[in-house]
Amino acid sequence: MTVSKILPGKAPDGQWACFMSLTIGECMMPLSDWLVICLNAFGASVLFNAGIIKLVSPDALRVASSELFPRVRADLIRRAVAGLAAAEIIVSLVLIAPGPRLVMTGPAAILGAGFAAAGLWGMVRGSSVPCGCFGSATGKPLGWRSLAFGLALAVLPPVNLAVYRGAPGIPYVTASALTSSIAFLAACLWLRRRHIGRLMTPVRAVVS
Amino acid sequence: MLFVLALAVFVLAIAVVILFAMLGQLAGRVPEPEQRVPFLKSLPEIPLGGVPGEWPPGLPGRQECTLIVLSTICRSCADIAQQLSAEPGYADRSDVGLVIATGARAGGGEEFAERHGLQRFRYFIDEHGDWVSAQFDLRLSPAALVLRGGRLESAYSFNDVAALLMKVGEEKKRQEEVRT
Repeated sequence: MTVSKILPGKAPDGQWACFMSLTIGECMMPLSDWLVICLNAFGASVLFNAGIIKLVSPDALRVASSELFPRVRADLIRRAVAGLAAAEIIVSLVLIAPGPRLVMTGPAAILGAGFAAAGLWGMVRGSSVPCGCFGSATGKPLGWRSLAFGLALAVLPPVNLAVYRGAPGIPYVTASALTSSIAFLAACLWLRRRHIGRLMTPVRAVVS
Repeated sequence: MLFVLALAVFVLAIAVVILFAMLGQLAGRVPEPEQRVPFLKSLPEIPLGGVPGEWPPGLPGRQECTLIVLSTICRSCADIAQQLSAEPGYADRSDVGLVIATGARAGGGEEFAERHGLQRFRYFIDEHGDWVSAQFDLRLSPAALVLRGGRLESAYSFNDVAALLMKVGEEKKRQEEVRT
Protein backbone atom coordinates (compact mmCIF):
# COMPACT_ATOMS: atom_id res chain seq x y z
CA MET A 1 0.00 0.00 0.00
CA THR A 2 1.28 3.47 -0.83
CA VAL A 3 0.17 6.19 1.50
CA SER A 4 -0.02 8.69 -1.34
CA LYS A 5 -3.00 6.86 -2.82
CA ILE A 6 -5.13 7.37 0.28
CA LEU A 7 -7.50 10.19 -0.44
CA PRO A 8 -7.92 12.96 2.13
CA GLY A 9 -10.97 12.29 4.27
CA LYS A 10 -10.93 8.55 3.65
CA ALA A 11 -8.02 7.66 5.88
CA PRO A 12 -8.82 4.64 8.09
CA ASP A 13 -6.65 5.79 10.99
CA GLY A 14 -8.20 9.16 11.67
CA GLN A 15 -6.77 12.67 11.38
CA TRP A 16 -3.08 11.82 11.43
CA ALA A 17 -3.32 9.38 8.54
CA CYS A 18 -5.37 11.94 6.66
CA PHE A 19 -2.69 14.56 7.22
CA MET A 20 0.05 12.15 6.09
CA SER A 21 -1.77 11.30 2.90
CA LEU A 22 -2.35 14.94 2.17
CA THR A 23 1.28 15.74 2.86
CA ILE A 24 2.71 13.06 0.59
CA GLY A 25 0.05 13.52 -2.03
CA GLU A 26 0.67 17.25 -2.21
CA CYS A 27 4.35 16.78 -2.92
CA MET A 28 3.97 14.22 -5.73
CA MET A 29 4.99 16.05 -8.89
CA PRO A 30 7.03 15.33 -11.98
CA LEU A 31 10.74 16.13 -11.79
CA SER A 32 10.33 18.81 -14.45
CA ASP A 33 7.98 20.74 -12.16
CA TRP A 34 10.55 20.60 -9.37
CA LEU A 35 13.19 21.91 -11.78
CA VAL A 36 10.98 24.87 -12.69
CA ILE A 37 10.11 25.50 -9.05
CA CYS A 38 13.76 25.53 -7.98
CA LEU A 39 14.87 27.76 -10.86
CA ASN A 40 12.02 30.22 -10.37
CA ALA A 41 12.61 30.24 -6.60
CA PHE A 42 16.27 31.09 -7.23
CA GLY A 43 15.35 33.94 -9.56
CA ALA A 44 12.65 35.20 -7.21
CA SER A 45 14.98 35.11 -4.19
CA VAL A 46 17.61 37.20 -6.00
CA LEU A 47 15.03 39.72 -7.22
CA PHE A 48 13.16 39.97 -3.92
CA ASN A 49 16.28 40.51 -1.81
CA ALA A 50 17.58 43.07 -4.30
CA GLY A 51 14.25 44.92 -4.34
CA ILE A 52 13.86 45.06 -0.58
CA ILE A 53 17.42 46.34 -0.08
CA LYS A 54 16.87 49.03 -2.71
CA LEU A 55 13.70 50.14 -0.94
CA VAL A 56 15.28 50.23 2.53
CA SER A 57 18.66 51.75 1.60
CA PRO A 58 18.77 53.02 -1.99
CA ASP A 59 21.82 55.24 -1.53
CA ALA A 60 24.45 52.71 -2.69
CA LEU A 61 22.84 52.16 -6.10
CA ARG A 62 22.05 55.87 -6.44
CA VAL A 63 25.71 56.80 -5.95
CA ALA A 64 26.89 54.03 -8.31
CA SER A 65 24.37 55.12 -10.95
CA SER A 66 25.44 58.75 -10.62
CA GLU A 67 29.02 57.67 -11.23
CA LEU A 68 28.06 55.78 -14.40
CA PHE A 69 25.57 58.37 -15.67
CA PRO A 70 26.89 61.73 -14.45
CA ARG A 71 24.62 63.75 -16.73
CA VAL A 72 21.36 62.26 -15.45
CA ARG A 73 19.61 64.38 -12.81
CA ALA A 74 19.73 63.09 -9.23
CA ASP A 75 15.94 63.08 -8.75
CA LEU A 76 15.51 60.99 -11.92
CA ILE A 77 18.01 58.46 -10.63
CA ARG A 78 16.21 58.34 -7.27
CA ARG A 79 12.87 57.65 -8.95
CA ALA A 80 14.42 55.07 -11.25
CA VAL A 81 15.93 53.20 -8.27
CA ALA A 82 12.58 53.23 -6.42
CA GLY A 83 10.76 52.05 -9.56
CA LEU A 84 13.29 49.29 -10.13
CA ALA A 85 12.90 48.12 -6.53
CA ALA A 86 9.11 47.94 -6.86
CA ALA A 87 9.39 46.09 -10.18
CA GLU A 88 11.81 43.55 -8.73
CA ILE A 89 9.53 42.78 -5.78
CA ILE A 90 6.40 42.43 -7.92
CA VAL A 91 8.11 40.26 -10.54
CA SER A 92 9.69 38.05 -7.86
CA LEU A 93 6.36 37.35 -6.15
CA VAL A 94 4.48 36.61 -9.37
CA LEU A 95 7.37 34.49 -10.65
CA ILE A 96 6.69 31.84 -8.00
CA ALA A 97 2.91 31.92 -8.35
CA PRO A 98 1.40 29.08 -10.39
CA GLY A 99 -0.66 30.89 -13.01
CA PRO A 100 1.19 33.74 -14.66
CA ARG A 101 4.73 32.38 -14.39
CA LEU A 102 5.06 32.08 -18.15
CA VAL A 103 3.99 35.71 -18.48
CA MET A 104 6.20 36.94 -15.63
CA THR A 105 9.37 35.11 -16.63
CA GLY A 106 9.49 37.59 -19.52
CA PRO A 107 9.84 40.67 -17.25
CA ALA A 108 12.27 38.71 -15.06
CA ALA A 109 14.40 38.04 -18.12
CA ILE A 110 14.18 41.71 -19.14
CA LEU A 111 15.34 42.73 -15.66
CA GLY A 112 18.13 40.16 -15.92
CA ALA A 113 19.21 41.57 -19.29
CA GLY A 114 19.24 45.04 -17.69
CA PHE A 115 21.42 43.80 -14.82
CA ALA A 116 23.79 42.12 -17.26
CA ALA A 117 24.02 45.31 -19.35
CA ALA A 118 24.64 47.41 -16.20
CA GLY A 119 27.35 44.97 -15.09
CA LEU A 120 28.97 45.10 -18.51
CA TRP A 121 28.77 48.90 -18.56
CA GLY A 122 30.32 49.03 -15.07
CA MET A 123 33.20 46.81 -16.21
CA VAL A 124 33.78 48.92 -19.34
CA ARG A 125 33.68 52.20 -17.38
CA GLY A 126 35.74 50.78 -14.52
CA SER A 127 33.11 51.51 -11.88
CA SER A 128 34.61 51.76 -8.40
CA VAL A 129 31.69 52.78 -6.18
CA PRO A 130 29.97 49.95 -4.21
CA CYS A 131 26.56 49.44 -5.80
CA GLY A 132 24.89 47.19 -3.21
CA CYS A 133 23.82 45.06 -6.16
CA PHE A 134 21.36 42.25 -5.33
CA GLY A 135 21.36 43.42 -1.74
CA SER A 136 25.01 42.57 -1.28
CA ALA A 137 26.86 44.28 1.56
CA THR A 138 30.32 43.31 0.29
CA GLY A 139 31.05 46.73 -1.18
CA LYS A 140 31.64 45.45 -4.74
CA PRO A 141 30.97 47.80 -7.69
CA LEU A 142 28.88 47.02 -10.78
CA GLY A 143 30.77 44.26 -12.61
CA TRP A 144 30.86 40.57 -13.43
CA ARG A 145 28.49 39.59 -10.59
CA SER A 146 25.70 41.68 -12.10
CA LEU A 147 26.52 40.21 -15.50
CA ALA A 148 26.38 36.62 -14.21
CA PHE A 149 23.17 37.05 -12.20
CA GLY A 150 21.55 38.88 -15.11
CA LEU A 151 22.36 36.08 -17.53
CA ALA A 152 21.08 33.49 -15.02
CA LEU A 153 17.72 35.32 -14.87
CA ALA A 154 17.59 35.43 -18.65
CA VAL A 155 17.40 31.60 -18.90
CA LEU A 156 14.13 31.43 -16.94
CA PRO A 157 11.68 31.86 -19.87
CA PRO A 158 13.14 29.08 -22.07
CA VAL A 159 13.16 26.58 -19.19
CA ASN A 160 9.58 27.47 -18.19
CA LEU A 161 8.44 27.21 -21.79
CA ALA A 162 10.15 23.85 -22.24
CA VAL A 163 8.42 22.15 -19.31
CA TYR A 164 5.10 24.01 -19.17
CA ARG A 165 2.18 21.59 -18.68
CA GLY A 166 -0.74 23.95 -18.26
CA ALA A 167 -1.93 25.55 -15.05
CA PRO A 168 -0.56 23.56 -12.08
CA GLY A 169 -2.60 22.98 -8.95
CA ILE A 170 -2.26 23.02 -5.18
CA PRO A 171 0.81 20.71 -5.08
CA TYR A 172 2.74 23.12 -7.26
CA VAL A 173 1.79 26.16 -5.13
CA THR A 174 2.67 24.33 -1.92
CA ALA A 175 6.04 23.17 -3.17
CA SER A 176 6.74 26.56 -4.73
CA ALA A 177 5.97 28.41 -1.48
CA LEU A 178 8.17 26.10 0.60
CA THR A 179 11.07 26.07 -1.88
CA SER A 180 10.89 29.82 -2.30
CA SER A 181 10.93 30.31 1.47
CA ILE A 182 14.14 28.31 1.68
CA ALA A 183 15.64 30.18 -1.29
CA PHE A 184 14.64 33.61 0.11
CA LEU A 185 16.22 32.83 3.49
CA ALA A 186 19.36 31.27 2.01
CA ALA A 187 19.90 34.27 -0.29
CA CYS A 188 19.24 36.66 2.58
CA LEU A 189 21.73 34.92 4.89
CA TRP A 190 24.36 34.81 2.15
CA LEU A 191 23.94 38.47 1.18
CA ARG A 192 23.93 39.71 4.80
CA ARG A 193 26.78 37.43 5.94
CA ARG A 194 29.03 40.39 6.80
CA HIS A 195 26.47 41.90 9.14
CA ILE A 196 25.73 38.53 10.69
CA GLY A 197 29.45 37.90 11.22
CA ARG A 198 29.78 41.31 12.81
CA LEU A 199 26.92 40.59 15.18
CA MET A 200 28.43 37.23 16.10
CA THR A 201 31.80 38.82 16.97
CA PRO A 202 32.03 39.53 20.69
CA VAL A 203 32.68 43.18 21.54
CA ARG A 204 35.93 43.63 23.42
CA ALA A 205 35.63 45.62 26.60
CA VAL A 206 37.80 48.72 26.90
CA VAL A 207 39.84 48.67 30.11
CA SER A 208 41.23 52.03 31.19
CA MET B 1 -3.26 21.82 5.56
CA LEU B 2 0.26 21.74 4.16
CA PHE B 3 -0.74 24.40 1.67
CA VAL B 4 -1.69 26.78 4.49
CA LEU B 5 1.49 25.96 6.40
CA ALA B 6 3.58 26.57 3.26
CA LEU B 7 2.02 30.00 2.79
CA ALA B 8 2.60 30.83 6.45
CA VAL B 9 6.27 29.83 6.16
CA PHE B 10 6.56 31.93 3.01
CA VAL B 11 5.15 35.01 4.75
CA LEU B 12 7.58 34.45 7.63
CA ALA B 13 10.49 34.17 5.18
CA ILE B 14 9.50 37.50 3.61
CA ALA B 15 9.36 39.08 7.07
CA VAL B 16 12.86 37.78 7.89
CA VAL B 17 14.26 39.17 4.62
CA ILE B 18 12.76 42.60 5.40
CA LEU B 19 14.13 42.47 8.96
CA PHE B 20 17.63 41.67 7.72
CA ALA B 21 17.45 44.51 5.18
CA MET B 22 16.58 46.90 8.00
CA LEU B 23 19.40 45.42 10.08
CA GLY B 24 21.81 46.25 7.25
CA GLN B 25 20.52 49.83 7.16
CA LEU B 26 20.92 50.07 10.92
CA ALA B 27 24.46 48.65 10.77
CA GLY B 28 25.37 51.40 8.31
CA ARG B 29 24.69 53.96 11.01
CA VAL B 30 27.05 52.32 13.49
CA PRO B 31 30.78 52.94 13.00
CA GLU B 32 33.22 50.06 12.81
CA PRO B 33 34.71 49.24 16.21
CA GLU B 34 38.25 49.40 14.83
CA GLN B 35 40.33 52.55 14.93
CA ARG B 36 38.94 55.23 12.62
CA VAL B 37 40.71 55.71 9.29
CA PRO B 38 40.22 59.22 7.86
CA PHE B 39 37.75 59.06 5.02
CA LEU B 40 36.74 61.81 2.59
CA LYS B 41 34.80 61.24 -0.61
CA SER B 42 33.03 63.64 -2.93
CA LEU B 43 29.33 62.99 -3.54
CA PRO B 44 28.76 62.75 -7.30
CA GLU B 45 24.97 62.57 -6.94
CA ILE B 46 24.73 66.07 -5.46
CA PRO B 47 24.22 68.68 -8.22
CA LEU B 48 26.92 71.34 -7.93
CA GLY B 49 26.72 75.00 -8.91
CA GLY B 50 23.26 75.57 -7.43
CA VAL B 51 22.38 78.71 -5.50
CA PRO B 52 20.32 78.07 -2.35
CA GLY B 53 16.98 79.87 -2.55
CA GLU B 54 16.69 80.66 1.12
CA TRP B 55 19.37 80.95 3.75
CA PRO B 56 18.42 80.25 7.35
CA PRO B 57 19.54 82.55 10.16
CA GLY B 58 22.36 81.37 12.37
CA LEU B 59 24.59 80.05 9.58
CA PRO B 60 27.72 81.83 8.29
CA GLY B 61 27.37 84.00 5.18
CA ARG B 62 26.60 81.97 2.09
CA GLN B 63 29.30 83.68 0.00
CA GLU B 64 32.03 81.48 1.41
CA CYS B 65 31.37 78.83 3.98
CA THR B 66 31.56 75.13 4.80
CA LEU B 67 28.38 73.57 6.14
CA ILE B 68 28.75 70.36 8.12
CA VAL B 69 25.49 68.43 7.98
CA LEU B 70 24.81 66.19 10.98
CA SER B 71 21.79 64.13 11.89
CA THR B 72 20.48 63.57 15.39
CA ILE B 73 19.86 59.88 14.64
CA CYS B 74 23.18 58.88 13.08
CA ARG B 75 25.93 57.42 15.22
CA SER B 76 28.71 58.64 12.91
CA CYS B 77 27.33 62.17 13.32
CA ALA B 78 27.75 61.88 17.08
CA ASP B 79 31.40 61.00 16.44
CA ILE B 80 31.80 64.06 14.19
CA ALA B 81 30.12 66.21 16.85
CA GLN B 82 32.63 64.98 19.43
CA GLN B 83 35.51 65.87 17.12
CA LEU B 84 34.06 69.35 16.66
CA SER B 85 33.61 70.01 20.34
CA ALA B 86 37.04 68.56 21.21
CA GLU B 87 38.89 71.18 19.15
CA PRO B 88 38.02 74.75 20.29
CA GLY B 89 39.53 76.27 17.13
CA TYR B 90 36.74 74.90 14.96
CA ALA B 91 34.07 76.98 16.68
CA ASP B 92 36.13 80.15 16.19
CA ARG B 93 36.16 79.77 12.43
CA SER B 94 33.69 82.17 10.88
CA ASP B 95 33.35 80.10 7.71
CA VAL B 96 32.20 76.88 9.36
CA GLY B 97 28.52 76.27 10.14
CA LEU B 98 26.55 73.26 11.27
CA VAL B 99 23.23 72.03 9.96
CA ILE B 100 21.68 69.68 12.50
CA ALA B 101 18.96 67.64 10.79
CA THR B 102 16.41 66.01 13.06
CA GLY B 103 15.02 62.54 12.41
CA ALA B 104 11.50 61.47 11.48
CA ARG B 105 10.20 62.89 14.74
CA ALA B 106 10.66 66.63 14.96
CA GLY B 107 12.67 68.08 17.83
CA GLY B 108 15.86 66.96 19.47
CA GLY B 109 18.14 69.26 17.50
CA GLU B 110 18.86 71.65 20.37
CA GLU B 111 19.31 68.67 22.69
CA PHE B 112 21.85 67.18 20.25
CA ALA B 113 23.78 70.48 20.13
CA GLU B 114 23.75 70.75 23.92
CA ARG B 115 24.73 67.11 24.50
CA HIS B 116 27.78 67.41 22.25
CA GLY B 117 28.79 70.94 23.26
CA LEU B 118 28.07 72.54 19.88
CA GLN B 119 26.38 75.72 21.16
CA ARG B 120 29.48 77.80 20.42
CA PHE B 121 29.16 77.00 16.70
CA ARG B 122 26.97 78.80 14.18
CA TYR B 123 24.27 76.24 13.61
CA PHE B 124 20.80 75.76 12.23
CA ILE B 125 18.30 73.11 13.34
CA ASP B 126 16.85 71.63 10.15
CA GLU B 127 13.60 69.82 11.06
CA HIS B 128 13.46 66.46 9.22
CA GLY B 129 16.39 67.64 7.04
CA ASP B 130 13.85 69.49 4.87
CA TRP B 131 16.13 72.45 4.13
CA VAL B 132 19.24 70.52 3.00
CA SER B 133 17.19 68.09 0.94
CA ALA B 134 15.21 70.88 -0.76
CA GLN B 135 18.15 73.22 -1.40
CA PHE B 136 20.96 70.76 -2.12
CA ASP B 137 19.24 67.41 -2.73
CA LEU B 138 21.28 66.00 0.16
CA ARG B 139 19.83 63.02 1.99
CA LEU B 140 22.74 61.47 3.83
CA SER B 141 24.83 62.43 6.80
CA PRO B 142 27.42 63.21 7.94
CA ALA B 143 28.19 65.35 4.92
CA ALA B 144 29.85 68.64 4.14
CA LEU B 145 28.72 71.31 1.66
CA VAL B 146 31.27 73.86 0.49
CA LEU B 147 29.89 77.12 -0.90
CA ARG B 148 31.93 79.72 -2.71
CA GLY B 149 30.55 82.83 -4.36
CA GLY B 150 27.12 81.82 -3.07
CA ARG B 151 27.15 78.61 -5.12
CA LEU B 152 27.58 75.03 -4.04
CA GLU B 153 31.11 74.18 -5.10
CA SER B 154 31.60 70.70 -3.65
CA ALA B 155 29.91 68.12 -1.46
CA TYR B 156 31.65 65.47 0.61
CA SER B 157 30.93 62.46 2.74
CA PHE B 158 33.52 62.23 5.50
CA ASN B 159 34.39 60.92 8.95
CA ASP B 160 37.22 63.22 9.98
CA VAL B 161 36.76 66.96 10.50
CA ALA B 162 40.49 67.78 10.29
CA ALA B 163 40.80 65.96 6.94
CA LEU B 164 37.72 67.75 5.63
CA LEU B 165 38.87 71.25 6.57
CA MET B 166 42.35 70.53 5.22
CA LYS B 167 40.82 69.50 1.89
CA VAL B 168 38.61 72.62 1.82
CA GLY B 169 41.66 74.80 2.56
CA GLU B 170 43.66 73.14 -0.21
CA GLU B 171 40.85 73.66 -2.70
CA LYS B 172 40.55 77.31 -1.74
CA LYS B 173 44.29 77.85 -2.07
CA ARG B 174 44.34 76.13 -5.46
CA GLN B 175 41.53 78.33 -6.75
CA GLU B 176 43.25 81.48 -5.56
CA GLU B 177 46.41 80.41 -7.37
CA VAL B 178 44.43 79.82 -10.56
CA ARG B 179 42.88 83.28 -10.28
CA THR B 180 46.25 84.99 -9.77
